Amino acid sequence: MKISPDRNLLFVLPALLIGLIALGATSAPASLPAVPADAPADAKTLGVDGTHSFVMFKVRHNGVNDAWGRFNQVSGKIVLDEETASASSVSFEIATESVDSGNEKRDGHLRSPDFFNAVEFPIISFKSETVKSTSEHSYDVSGHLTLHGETRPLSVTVTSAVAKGSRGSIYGFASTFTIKRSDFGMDYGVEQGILGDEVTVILNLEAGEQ
Amino acid sequence: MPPLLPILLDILPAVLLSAVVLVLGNRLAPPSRERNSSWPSLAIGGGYLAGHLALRGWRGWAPRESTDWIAVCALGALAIGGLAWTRRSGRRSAFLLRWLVGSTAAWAVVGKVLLRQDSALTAWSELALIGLAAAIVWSVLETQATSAGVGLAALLCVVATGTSIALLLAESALLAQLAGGLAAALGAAVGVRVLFRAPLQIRAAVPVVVITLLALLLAGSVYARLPTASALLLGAAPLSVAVAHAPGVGRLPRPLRLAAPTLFAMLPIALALLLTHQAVPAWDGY
Repeated sequence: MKISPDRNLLFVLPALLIGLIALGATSAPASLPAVPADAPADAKTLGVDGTHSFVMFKVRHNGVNDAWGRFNQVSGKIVLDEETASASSVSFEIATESVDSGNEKRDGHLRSPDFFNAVEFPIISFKSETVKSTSEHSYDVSGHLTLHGETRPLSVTVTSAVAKGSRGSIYGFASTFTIKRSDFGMDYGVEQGILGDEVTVILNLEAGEQ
Repeated sequence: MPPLLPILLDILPAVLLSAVVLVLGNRLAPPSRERNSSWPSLAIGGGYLAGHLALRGWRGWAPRESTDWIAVCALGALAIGGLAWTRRSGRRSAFLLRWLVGSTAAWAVVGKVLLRQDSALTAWSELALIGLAAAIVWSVLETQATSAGVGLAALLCVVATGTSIALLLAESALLAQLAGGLAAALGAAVGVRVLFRAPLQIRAAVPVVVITLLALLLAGSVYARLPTASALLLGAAPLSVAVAHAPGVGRLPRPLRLAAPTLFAMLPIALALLLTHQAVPAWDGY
């Protein structure tokens, strides 16, 4: 096919223009989907208060220091049966886009395909499968964590607290656990020792009756 | 910012494989048949894939994220270039095949996101239009490849290098390194031509370069912070190969005539880098 430069432009410019419009349509922000609700009859259904819930993480940087970050958008539902712990369940979701390390440039890097790939994998989620009471305010929760498109089993210990608030009881749930990010296919910088593989997650969820 | 060693770990395999395959190809294939040789596709596509694997490792089948699909796209385009499908087809069927391949590559890299964010009709239309743009660039390059030779390889190397820098500015060191692997494979081809005075006809490598570049630019603009305008400028930069046919260029001294398309391509590349630099926060040494 012999095409002159002038004819090239005639073909190419409209196609590029159309391509621009097509690509521009891909920038819509991701939103957190609603968590389904189906609680046992005697259990309380608690909604996670995103404003007063905190998901922090820390990872070794250059082998000498911990780099800290947090996620600013968390939602979820906790079904709490104080009599029969096994009837309880927890599910929560975190907007990957809301990652915040206190540095805008670094946040962009964290959202990129090097790490969370936030556009492709907009949600980090956990869904429990079993809840066991180990003492009055302590539970062993096992379930599946989905991060970076990979789902892996996760078991954590959760401590709880309850207080009376102006709009009914307020519950707090705290857990600290460690995951290996390479288990979730997020291994950029691990081999070079720039960033550690193990990530400590500090989860503090506040929830109230819905 | 990535340290130097990981960059070299990505680039060295690409350079070595590309150079070795080209030298081997020139030894095995008679020079008279060089024009139709499939070695450049294997050299440049294989070089890119070697760099990709060195950086990412074998992540299993099936690909699980967009970055993995870039390698699959490169592999498919390598096969198309190597088997000379588009060169053996008629003009119309070759264009349709390029369109189909371009759209499929776009679907593989960004289809999931487009289909999630838009209606199916809109998403498929977008993918078809991206594929059409890729098919046009691909067709122009294949048409010009016979006469451009090493000049086209140098031009594509500069475009891939510009893409790598733009992706680094767009906050994805990983995508930048992958684009760096493509630039390295192309640079090795130019190096073999210069050092060994071996004939270089990279027509067979046009599919793998166009499709890999398309995949990287799409990934950069959808998953990283590469502005759409920058992606378009970088995607269109290879079309400056047609500058070789502009009035007056034919009368220039040979080195300048060969370099003219590459020099011209630096304008859209520089603009793309400037736009990317302006669109993202300044590097603060975090």
